[in-house]
Amino acid sequence: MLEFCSDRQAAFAASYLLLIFLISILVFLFRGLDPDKIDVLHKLQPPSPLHWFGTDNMGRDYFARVLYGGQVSLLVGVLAMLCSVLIGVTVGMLSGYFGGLIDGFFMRLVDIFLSIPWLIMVTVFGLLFKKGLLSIILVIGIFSWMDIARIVRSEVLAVKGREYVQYADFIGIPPLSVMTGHILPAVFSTIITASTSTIAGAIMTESALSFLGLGVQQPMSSWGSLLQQSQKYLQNAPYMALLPGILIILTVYSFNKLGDILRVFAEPRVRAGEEDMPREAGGKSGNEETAQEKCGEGRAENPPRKDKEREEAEIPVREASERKETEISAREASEKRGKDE
Amino acid sequence: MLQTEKLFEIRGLKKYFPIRSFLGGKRGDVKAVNDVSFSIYRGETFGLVGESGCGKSTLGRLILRMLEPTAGEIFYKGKDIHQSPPGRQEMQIIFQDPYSSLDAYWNIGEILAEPLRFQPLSAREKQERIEAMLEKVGLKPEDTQRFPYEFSGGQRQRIGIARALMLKPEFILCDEPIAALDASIQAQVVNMLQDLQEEFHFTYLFISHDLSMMRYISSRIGVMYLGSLAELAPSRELYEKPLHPYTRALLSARPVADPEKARAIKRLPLSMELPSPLDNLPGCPFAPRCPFAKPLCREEKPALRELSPAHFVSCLRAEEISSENG
Repeated sequence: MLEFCSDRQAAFAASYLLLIFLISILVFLFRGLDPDKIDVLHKLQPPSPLHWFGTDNMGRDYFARVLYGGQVSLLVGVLAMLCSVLIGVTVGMLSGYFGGLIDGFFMRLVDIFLSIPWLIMVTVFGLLFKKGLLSIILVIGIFSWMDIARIVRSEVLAVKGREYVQYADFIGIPPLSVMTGHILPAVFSTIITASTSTIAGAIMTESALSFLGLGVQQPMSSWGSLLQQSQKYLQNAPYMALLPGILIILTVYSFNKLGDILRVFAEPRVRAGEEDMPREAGGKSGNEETAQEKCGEGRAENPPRKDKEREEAEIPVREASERKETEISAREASEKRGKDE
Repeated sequence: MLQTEKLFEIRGLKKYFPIRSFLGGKRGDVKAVNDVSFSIYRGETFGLVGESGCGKSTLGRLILRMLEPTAGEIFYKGKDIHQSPPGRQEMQIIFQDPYSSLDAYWNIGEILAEPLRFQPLSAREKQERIEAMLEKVGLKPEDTQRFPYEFSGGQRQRIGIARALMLKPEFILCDEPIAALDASIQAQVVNMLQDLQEEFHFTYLFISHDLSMMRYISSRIGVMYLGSLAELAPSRELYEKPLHPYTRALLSARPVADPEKARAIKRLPLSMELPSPLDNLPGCPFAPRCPFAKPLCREEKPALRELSPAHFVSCLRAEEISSENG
């Protein structure tokens, strides 16, 4: 727990997510907040004590719309993640454990799915399916499991070579029990990490879809659809784009950061023991890398033990960026000092 | 301790691993085990030595049916193991690496209960057996709640041994169980294995590359070279009168603690590296490195033959060499 608190970025990410989730779940308690109440007389009003985030082009309270939009975005993110983790882990486990033809089939399937630009796939399927939240979730889930499948497969291959798995096979434990009993726990931390970044990816995808008009339909809102509607009013009401945009960025960042934290907590027993551990969970999307770079700044001040190990392993690749980061943090520090004085 | 009842009889055992080219076509075979025949007697410790990659572990795993042989037969108590496979509880294995042989996410109780999974025992009986076994290998009954990372390498290896013993097997394959341990712990583990053998009359197939330790443990020793048996003899005889040039080279390279004795040993350096098991040599597999090789050795493959009672060697010139070199 000490490590956790010492990393301020992590603490921020965790408390931010907790807050967002609590608000999203409890938003119905605020009776006064109706995201669909139209008040044309007071449209496009800037933020005020009455309307904290102002009003939109139809005079609806933007604060309420952003909160309800967050509910939709998070719901889509979490459910799409569950869907893609379910597919990805199943495919990865079967592929890695059985190998041979099954492996060949699934991996070629992954190649096919990956070789088609996902946006086109999602667009086509979005047009085919009945519009609605469920179809968005399924479409995103069905087109984002490939990375997880690949990561899980490679982890399973590594675990399968360990002698305790060979022993279980030898004494005749059925394959399904070996997979759930021995292999799943060993790849669990990887799955956790991959799934948090999948949530982040799903939220981004949903935003992009809604931005293109393929996502949630009016009057329901999500952060992405709010962004899309705000386009026309950028000059009059820039806050309409800024607020959902900032929330998307913070949420995506926090989920990526959360993956880093959870990995450390998911394998406490192994951490102290096995030497072949700190392994890098793969599956970095662009977001995760930027998130990690950001973390670097935090680490420079107060590096947790595990992260330090990992950094050492990464030194050759990261030297240049690290230097930049230390410069940045040095500058930040001097600025802070200036402010204090 | 030599007994006459054969527990295992192995005839012409072969295991080839195909090498595939990029497109999946077969390019050749790695002959990991190439035509090996021998027997293991009940109650003995059969030692199998050889350098890395010579097929010792593959041979062991073939006997346990963890791998399917390419050709050859294995008889267990007189029955072909492919027609009437013996129960899993009759054979067990102890692994080399005590770190990867125990699941880090399972506690010791769970690890030791795994072999008992198919036994018709109540949870209480299982618990009692586990605790009794832990005491037998010098650990405490409370340790069932602890996890592998809380133990040292030697303790982990003893947990691995306890797991192998849970079912009171007839036969235990020890796949280099001491190679990953410190010298002091090696002795401790080996002594424990011997005590357990005396108590339960196990038969061991002990794989190792540690010649000094082998002499201490084994009743008979087989020397493997590139997938085939080079020499097979009772351990005393093998150390005192090695017949195969490879065995001689191995024994002469063995570190000896006493410097006086060490100086007296005539070293038999081997010239080349171990050839790849991929190469398909017509003659004796050892011929390219053998200091005594004659042209004939490169053409004719020697068979394992009994030169003196219970002492087998696969070398065409074994008699000449031993008469020349004593």
